[in-house]
Amino acid sequence: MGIENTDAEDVLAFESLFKTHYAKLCFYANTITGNLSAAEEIVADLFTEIWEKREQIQFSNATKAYIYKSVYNRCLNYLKHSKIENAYVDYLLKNDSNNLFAQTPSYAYDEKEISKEITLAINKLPEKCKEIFLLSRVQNKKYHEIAAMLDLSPKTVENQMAIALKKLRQMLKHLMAIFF
Amino acid sequence: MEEEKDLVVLTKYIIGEASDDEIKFINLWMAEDPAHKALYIELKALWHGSIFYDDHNRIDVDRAYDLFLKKIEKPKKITFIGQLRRFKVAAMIAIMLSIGGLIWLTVGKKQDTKTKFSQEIVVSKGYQKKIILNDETVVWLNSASVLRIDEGFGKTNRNVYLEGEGYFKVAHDKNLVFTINTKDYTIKDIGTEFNIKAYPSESVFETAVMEGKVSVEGKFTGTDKVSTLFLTKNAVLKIQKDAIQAVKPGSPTKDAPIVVLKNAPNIDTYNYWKDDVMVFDDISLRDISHELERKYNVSIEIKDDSLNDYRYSGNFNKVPNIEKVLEIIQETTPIIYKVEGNKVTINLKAKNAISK
Repeated sequence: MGIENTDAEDVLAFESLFKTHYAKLCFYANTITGNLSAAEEIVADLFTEIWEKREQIQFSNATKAYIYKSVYNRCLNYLKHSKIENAYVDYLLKNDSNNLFAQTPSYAYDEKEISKEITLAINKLPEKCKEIFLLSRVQNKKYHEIAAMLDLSPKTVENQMAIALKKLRQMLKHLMAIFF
Repeated sequence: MEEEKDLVVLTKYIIGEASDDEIKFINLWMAEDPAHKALYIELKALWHGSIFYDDHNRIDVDRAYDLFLKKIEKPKKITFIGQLRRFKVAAMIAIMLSIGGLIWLTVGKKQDTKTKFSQEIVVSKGYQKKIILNDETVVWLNSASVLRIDEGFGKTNRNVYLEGEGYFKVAHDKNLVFTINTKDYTIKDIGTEFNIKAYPSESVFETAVMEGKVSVEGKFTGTDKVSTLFLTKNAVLKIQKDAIQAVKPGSPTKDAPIVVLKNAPNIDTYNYWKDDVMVFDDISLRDISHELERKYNVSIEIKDDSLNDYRYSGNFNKVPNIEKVLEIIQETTPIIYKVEGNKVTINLKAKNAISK
């Protein structure tokens, strides 16, 4: 069921759909699942299914909503089957039709802009704060490891992480507004 | 300050560094004020999003698209991906006279001869068979099929008679046209690869062409007029024998008895059965049960009529027994089934039955 036997028009339309939505969908799915590779897999699987059903689907304005809803449902499924237990997962699964992410987010931004905004905001954190934050978020270091690496008290690390989140929230309010 | 202390513990909870006591604290804290819960959700979402820092986790859309292309080019390696859904109306369009010269009609007389066969190959339910004819044509026969070889095969003709389903890779011979006779239609080939589904007891006749060109001769209009359709590569002809009525060219009918797909998107799935993959493309549960009966050599009784409305699209990849198939179907359809020896009964599951 490869591409060679399909109308060139279909392929172009599909490619356009894919490239327009893929990155933003991954961001969306990652926001819900907290797992970027799972998010990409979910989105890729959805596009595969859309491709397989392309003769039955009319691409229209409703398509974006359909795509987001599908990704949303798959994300919830993923969470249901994962072993993650926390109030976030709880909130999502218990309010599956009326939580903040259940509606199609209104993205004005594309993926490059999202990434740029986040990078900018993190880079604006005070030096030590930023260093601690990145060790935790990007390098997955535990608090006590960070404390040891930077020769700080665990309390300092705790406080700085909280400050980082507080400041980031302030700086990225406009970005998160797509959800809230 | 109280708030700041809360935020420190909340951050630990979000990251997964909170102790058991701290987890308890947070749960109480969130319960005491909805604004607390809201803040948590916001920060948690922010934490998730912050993975996109710098180049560390850049999403490469072009690469993703390339990977996607590679994935769909592969033949479907599947387990079950479809789901049963109810259909009120199956709308299909009849193409009898098609534009573009791909398919055209000629009228002729069907030869009625009493044929003598030199060989008869019978494949029982539960089995499949691959044979090579003396002209080097390869034939795969599906369960509950019979292939009869004409006495003069290889010498004066290349005639065979098929009941059931066969996938043919016809050897090239410009002198002798390879001809397959089925109960209602005659297929003539010109050196190609195609699948024919012509079970005498089924109401559907189907031919899918993978390579080359074939002609299908028979009655297509509900009258006694015999005509011929030509099919080329990637074309699929599907005929609902019991629904044929006189069709006016150019007028689409709601439940058309004859459908020709000019460019079937996944032509190879029509012969997947020979690799033990059952492919269903919008098939009713009743028709699926016939296929399952042949493949697993069982008899299936569907007790609830409403179940026959369910239609299904999906693949079963090398499923070893009927129980497993039913298990898979049960995942998305409200059925209860019972297997006793080689008898299967399927019932509709009651709405208020306890489900897992």
